[in-house]
Amino acid sequence: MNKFIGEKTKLECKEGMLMHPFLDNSGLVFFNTLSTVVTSISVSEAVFKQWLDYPQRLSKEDLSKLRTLIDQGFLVESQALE
Amino acid sequence: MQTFQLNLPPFMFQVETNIPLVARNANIIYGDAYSDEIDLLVYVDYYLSATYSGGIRRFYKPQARFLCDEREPFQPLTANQAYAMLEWGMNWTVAAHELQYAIVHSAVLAKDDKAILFPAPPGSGKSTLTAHLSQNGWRLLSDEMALIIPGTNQVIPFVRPICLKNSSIALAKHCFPESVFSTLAADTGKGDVIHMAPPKAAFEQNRTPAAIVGIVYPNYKADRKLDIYQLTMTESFMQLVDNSFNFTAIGKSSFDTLTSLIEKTKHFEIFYNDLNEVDLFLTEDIINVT
Repeated sequence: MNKFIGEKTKLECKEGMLMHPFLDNSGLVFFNTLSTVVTSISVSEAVFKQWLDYPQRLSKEDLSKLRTLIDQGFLVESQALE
Repeated sequence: MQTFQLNLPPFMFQVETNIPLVARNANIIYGDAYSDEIDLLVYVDYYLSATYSGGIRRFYKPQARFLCDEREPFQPLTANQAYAMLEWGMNWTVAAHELQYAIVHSAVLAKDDKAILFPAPPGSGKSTLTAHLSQNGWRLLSDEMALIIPGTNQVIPFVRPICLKNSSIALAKHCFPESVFSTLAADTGKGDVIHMAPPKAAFEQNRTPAAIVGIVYPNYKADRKLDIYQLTMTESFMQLVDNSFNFTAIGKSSFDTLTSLIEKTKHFEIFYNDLNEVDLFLTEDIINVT
């Protein structure tokens, strides 16, 4: 378990961040209008929602992708019951 | 000092110059869009100048300066590059100031008012491809920038000359002997540069928008036959943003426009060495299908 992700932690898109899942399920794109960072993640919206709900179940590699989105200010913890 | 106006929808430029090759080239390249009879009643979007630098240097190694509304975005260049500098300055002016369009660094060509964007970095063969297509049944909307109306998939023409570099120059002069070319700007930062006038038909339709139906990222490779790779929407979006001039300045409107545009268009990356093969692919697989 990553030390930053608690057992019951869930994640959500931070308010004000722009996110768009593409129709071809190739991925989602994000735009932080404050920092002007644009980034993408190559998973479908359905899979991404699972990632947000259960980040504890992710592989180290996938968790690292989420960590990047957190560091860039796109995602925040919505629940931290530790 | 000479002053002339360039009526290049959607913009009107007024240019002041004391360098004869600037006015001479603008006149031959822009034809009817060029006027040295200044219309005082017309609204001018941008006042530009391309003039000799001052000082004693003018007499032994003359340089040219470009100014846009008294701002000087570039270092001076040698005077024989003054016309190329004016063209680049006009590009900079629009890219740096216009916020009512989502602007992408891209050539734009259309058939039957269906447009394809060709976003690409320098060296990709974009302008040579643009020159070829514009002389073979495609309508040139721009060699340099796509002006996309926010919230739509409509692109506005901004008809300007095609900027050819190095080995493309001889190729274009050989293939299109009837076309009009500017004088050569030698040894610029991009190498030798020449501007090729747009076809008359492009000027005649320079107020007619087109619907974007495809985005193609071209890569010229001398040793490679046509290879076509379909891109995912996510891949294409990220490349399009990389080529955007004002994505971050416009913010949400640009994000919404480009994500929506991506979902309405086809996306390919192509490697090629035969322009006719590319033309056939574009016509059959993008224009005719859509």
